Amino acid sequence: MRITQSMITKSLLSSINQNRESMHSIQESITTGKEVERSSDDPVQFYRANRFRQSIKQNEQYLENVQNAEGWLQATTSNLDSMLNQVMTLRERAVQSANDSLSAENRLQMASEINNIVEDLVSLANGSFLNKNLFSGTKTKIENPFLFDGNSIEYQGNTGKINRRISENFTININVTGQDLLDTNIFNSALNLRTALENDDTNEIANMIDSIDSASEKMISLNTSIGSIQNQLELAEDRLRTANLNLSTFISETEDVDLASAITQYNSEEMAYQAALQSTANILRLNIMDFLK
Amino acid sequence: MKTTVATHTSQTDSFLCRFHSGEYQMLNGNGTDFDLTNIIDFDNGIPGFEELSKFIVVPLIEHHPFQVLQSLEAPPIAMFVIPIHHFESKQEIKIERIDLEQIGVRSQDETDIYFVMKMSQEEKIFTVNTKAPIVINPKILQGCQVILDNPNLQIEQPLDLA
Repeated sequence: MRITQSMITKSLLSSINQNRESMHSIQESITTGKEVERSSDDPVQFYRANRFRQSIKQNEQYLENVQNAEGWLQATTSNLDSMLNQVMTLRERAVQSANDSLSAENRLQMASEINNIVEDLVSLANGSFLNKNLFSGTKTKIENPFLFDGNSIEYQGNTGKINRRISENFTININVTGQDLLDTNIFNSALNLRTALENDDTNEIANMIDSIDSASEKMISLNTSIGSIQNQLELAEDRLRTANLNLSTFISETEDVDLASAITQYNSEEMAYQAALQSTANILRLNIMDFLK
Repeated sequence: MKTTVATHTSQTDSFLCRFHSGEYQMLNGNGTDFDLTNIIDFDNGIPGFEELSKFIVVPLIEHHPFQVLQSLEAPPIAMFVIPIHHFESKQEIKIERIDLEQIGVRSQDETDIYFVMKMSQEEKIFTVNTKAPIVINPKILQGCQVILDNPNLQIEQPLDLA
């Protein structure tokens, strides 16, 4: 497109008018003392201020979700740790009782000790956080997700995932379900060890040592995956808090813009206005002689 | 383009005093040079201002060592920052390689690092966010705000000048 003299003049004049407008609005904000007074004053800035304020609120909600999730995971991992401790004891007892020097009566006593461990495991698996079951999927309000009738264990929960939204487009899964616990085979190993002890079956007791080892490995891997979720949550928390800190520096500056800075801005706008006037004068002075040079 | 905007500010006002009075926007003045040849790209924005990517770092000559990270797309957005070597920290600030690669450097030594400052309204004290420094590659003018994975660093650490 060819730029004609009249186009230059037009655009210069419109830029002068823009400067006038903006000077006018700054003068107004000096009088009122508040920069973002009406949405029409500076729609972009008004929109931004509003949106940033909403962002802060939204981030605070996400922060609450993160902190709640952190509490939940803390409770989960602490229960899993206690369960792991019980599994260690279970293994020690299995190794002891595999020893041939023990009598059938000794093993029977040992079996009742194992029974206590199973009860402890079940009670840990029925653990809760803020009155919600930790290990029952999305059925978090059942009285006892795990029922132990002395012979077998029944899981009443489901395999539902519990997710927490920690940013606009990111949710994170925070629960270990009862099914995950069952899949480690921890309860069955314990119950089978008890049966083997009752039956004074040393071969089966030796088998159960392997079974317990494999269960404890699976428990540890559950706990490790929780650790990595906890790391992600910490990162998310730091990011949300940083975002809100950044946003808050902006909000405090927009809300109560002080007179001095408005005056400063006014001065520089005035300079721009003068500069625009001058360059217009120069360009409009161009005549046919200038083009012939 | 290099412009100097002259203003009439009282020389006697200390930076702290002005900061405390809520007079944050000294950005157009104080005899400060706005060097628009050094516009820094924050390709991913910074947390909270994800859609803003153009910033400049303006040193406050009268208020050394404080500087201002000024958005060019949204002028009211500006944050006070302080170069990390002016800040007394017992903690080592170590930027992960993956974060350094984001701004095209291999070593932390090739970067300028700043902490974002905040003034607590209630207690009238300055804090700096040591957990999330602003890292800039001055050669290709790329920047980012990284979150460090060091639990000992604080988001609101009281300011202690080196």
